[in-house]
Amino acid sequence: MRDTRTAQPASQHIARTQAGRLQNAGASTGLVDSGARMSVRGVSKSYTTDRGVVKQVLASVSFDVAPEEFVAIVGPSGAGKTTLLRALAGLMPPTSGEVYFDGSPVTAPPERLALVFQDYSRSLMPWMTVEKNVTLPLRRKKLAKEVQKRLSSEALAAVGLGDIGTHYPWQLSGGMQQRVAIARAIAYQPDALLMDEPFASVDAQTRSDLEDLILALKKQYRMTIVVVTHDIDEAVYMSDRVIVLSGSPTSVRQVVDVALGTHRDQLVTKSLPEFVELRNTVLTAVRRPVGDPTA
Amino acid sequence: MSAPAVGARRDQRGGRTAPLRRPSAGGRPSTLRRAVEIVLLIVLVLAAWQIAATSGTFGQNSWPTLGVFWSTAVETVPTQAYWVAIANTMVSWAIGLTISVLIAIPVGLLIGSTSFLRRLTTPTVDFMRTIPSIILVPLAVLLYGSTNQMKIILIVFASVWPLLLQAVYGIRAVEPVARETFSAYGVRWRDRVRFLYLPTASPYLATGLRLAAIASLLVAIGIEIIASAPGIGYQIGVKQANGLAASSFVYLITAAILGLIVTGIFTAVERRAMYWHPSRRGTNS
Repeated sequence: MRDTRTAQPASQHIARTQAGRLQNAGASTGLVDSGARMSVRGVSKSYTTDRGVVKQVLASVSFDVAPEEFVAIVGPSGAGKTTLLRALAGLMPPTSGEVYFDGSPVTAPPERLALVFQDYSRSLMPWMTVEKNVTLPLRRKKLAKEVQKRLSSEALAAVGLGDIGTHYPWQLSGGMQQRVAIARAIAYQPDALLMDEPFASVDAQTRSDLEDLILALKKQYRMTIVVVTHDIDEAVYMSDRVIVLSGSPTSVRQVVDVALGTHRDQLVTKSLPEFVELRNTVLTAVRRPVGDPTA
Repeated sequence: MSAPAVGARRDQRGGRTAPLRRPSAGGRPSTLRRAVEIVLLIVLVLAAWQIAATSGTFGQNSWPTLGVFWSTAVETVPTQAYWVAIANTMVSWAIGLTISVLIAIPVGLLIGSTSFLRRLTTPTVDFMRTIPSIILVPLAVLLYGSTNQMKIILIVFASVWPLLLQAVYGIRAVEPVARETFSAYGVRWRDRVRFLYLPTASPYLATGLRLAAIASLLVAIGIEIIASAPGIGYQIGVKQANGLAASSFVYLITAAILGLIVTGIFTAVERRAMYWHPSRRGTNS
């Protein structure tokens, strides 16, 4: 799996334009773009409430994510951003439509996929040390104890945490806890990383530090990343492509390509005129009221 | 006689919460002051005892003076009968509690994790747990006689419900985000039980265990008195019936001390099971 990625850069651009074209291809074809890491085809999701009312959250959402691409999903609050991410992660079967990971249909969480949740205080187990938390996903891989320990300390070093394996998560600050959650994802050695509002619960300074950390880790580990966020600056700053969702029931409203290059810098990138323009484009798309026909 | 212990525990609790509200200290009573309070309380209780015994309010010979009590205790404690009585009570207590744990924890975790089973069993459990063990004594004696077996069955009946309920609550306390984390990383079900379900439920189970342990001891002694099954309760009843008030009191105080020990041990277990819990963090480290 990893070998195929080294051959990607040349085909990556093609894959991305294909992905763009496939945006509204719909679910009926049943064919899978072989170049995509993740494909969402006509995914919809409805819930039946306690009173028996059927509520549609997702209405036929389709998009592709190319290998090593960074996609940000934004949308008005109340849009089914998290629902969509849970469908991508294989945590929730869609009512209709399909999700593919590396060309195979997703029915359970894929093994080459890692997740980072917003709520680090709940996604890290308070009764386990930092090291035990980081090595928890490695148990299914049946690796030797020493290998698990090594992967854990490497991952903790990669996220800028030192020798804190013996601490408990609640002894650390919020930013450090989210770093541990990221280290756990890294140690799992995934091809793709899904993040649900990963920096929404930390302070502004920590937030920009973590944004840069994720960008550095993406380069280092050549991961595909999909992040759900409500922060438009963050979406544009980090991603190669921003998918703007509409309000409930959710569909893809607009896809914005972010051609800001591979190197991003909090000060330089954010003051580029292109950045400001992209930011305004995305913001306008997010704010457009439901039912507004102007494309 | 358990009065001093209750007082001491209240002090402890006050001491634990006070520094949280007032970090500047000064709210926490010093160890010396606490010791003085405990000693004072014991002295008061003993004085009340002596006055009650000598005043004759409770009739002749029914309440021994401290002197008589002490000499009887010195006589009784070294005898084999005394230790056999304790062993009889504590062995059936331990067996009954173990059986309850083995039944209630797996069943409780299963019921708690299935909403269908929960709906099905809740009325039954609520009904059963309100039945006092004691009223089942005649039935149990009829079936098994005044044996340890009968005692154990009634102990299980008394202690299985608090444990079962706590196990149900414990499993329901599992955070959805934690469950999704385990799902997302494909953690096998054996590891989920070990690293998610049992740790989440452990504070609840520890509380249930403490409640069940105390309930079991009370039921064991009560049954021994009523049904003349061997043990401390039997000795209390039989000595009292034979007019040996002082001897009866020795067993009575023994039962109280056993209760204190059981409470102490299981409170410590509970605290240990909760080392990671938000309500305990920082108080130990």
